[in-house]
Amino acid sequence: MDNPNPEIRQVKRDVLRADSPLEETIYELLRDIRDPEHPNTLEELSVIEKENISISEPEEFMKAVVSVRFVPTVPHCSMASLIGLSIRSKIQDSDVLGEDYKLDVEVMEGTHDTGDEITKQLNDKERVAAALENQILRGLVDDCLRGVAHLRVVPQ
Amino acid sequence: MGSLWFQWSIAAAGFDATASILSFKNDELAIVGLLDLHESEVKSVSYSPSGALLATCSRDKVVYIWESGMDDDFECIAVLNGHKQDVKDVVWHPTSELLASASYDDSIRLWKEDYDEWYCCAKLSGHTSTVWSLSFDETGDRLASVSADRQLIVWRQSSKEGKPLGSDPQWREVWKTDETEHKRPIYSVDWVGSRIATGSGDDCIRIFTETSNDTFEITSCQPKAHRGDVNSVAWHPQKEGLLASAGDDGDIKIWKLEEDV
Repeated sequence: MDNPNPEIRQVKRDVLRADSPLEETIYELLRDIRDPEHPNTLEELSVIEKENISISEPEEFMKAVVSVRFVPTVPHCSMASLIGLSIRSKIQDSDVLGEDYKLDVEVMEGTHDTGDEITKQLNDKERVAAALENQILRGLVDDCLRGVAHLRVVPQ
Repeated sequence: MGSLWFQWSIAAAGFDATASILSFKNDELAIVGLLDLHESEVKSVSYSPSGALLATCSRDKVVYIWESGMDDDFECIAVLNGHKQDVKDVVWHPTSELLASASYDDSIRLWKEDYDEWYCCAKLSGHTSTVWSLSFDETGDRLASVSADRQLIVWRQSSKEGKPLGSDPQWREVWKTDETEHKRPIYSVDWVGSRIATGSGDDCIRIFTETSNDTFEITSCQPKAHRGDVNSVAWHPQKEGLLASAGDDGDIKIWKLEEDV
């Protein structure tokens, strides 16, 4: 395990309203994704944060770009690609962006030893399609997307 | 993915790691050959001008050259290793057996044969991200390349004058687009006559026209050409100003270029 003792944040749930800004809708979609190495969510581990989801002002005739930047728990985290792939897969499979937005998923600059390489890979649509067709990778992504609820025993 | 005609045959690249040769037999299109040496998705295929050779490339970093024999038989005659990452596109020079390949390793390589051995005779470095697509001009003296770095670059083969006999020509960058022209990666380029068309992840098709030697100007930009990335653009080989495009929206569109009056 790359990071045996990650810092875990207590989270409180906001109520999501129908007219919430897109950034919040995306955050809501991503917060419960499970970290591949820990029984915790990306939100609890501060891998994703609200302020790291941004939407560019669209230029004339162009679509706005949604940018999701995430912070691996340690700079040598070998699971960073898988986390990014889970984030992309979750957003692509939902219809929150529709045809109105472009999506960039990026490792936050300066937070990972091979951040640029991972970011390049996460934004090559052929690489992403191939990864998600790979049954082993698909299984790992699906595990992350299942969240953590099923891992936790609710006290009686 | 990529595919190409030669006479009544079509070569098609597949995400299933194979390239297929399809041919019209008794008015029906049938698969007549399956090239299955690649280890991962085949990204592009290209027939040489004579139709004698076929090149394929893949995410497995390798380019294969196949020779077509009798009865649609294809034999692998060369394995081109050199690219350090996925090879996204292969195109043949219009008049000679010179092959160009584009890669996720940000480089373009040119390959040719010498005494039955294929080797890399030039490496073109200038892009700062994945090179997605290539197109030679009609003479083959120039090559256009497009990349995820949002740039279109035109390369020219330098003259052989003053070089030792038998040395390979150098290629140098002679023109490139303004950095802010394309807003997203460029996936496709096609060059016919004085016009270069590009298809981009910003959903636009752009046309660049040569205004003087090695100088181009953007003469047309079609926004929202597709409801998603434009993955491929191709000029009609004879009818001037006809362009086909394919997009992430699953549509294929035919465009006609109208001159300003």
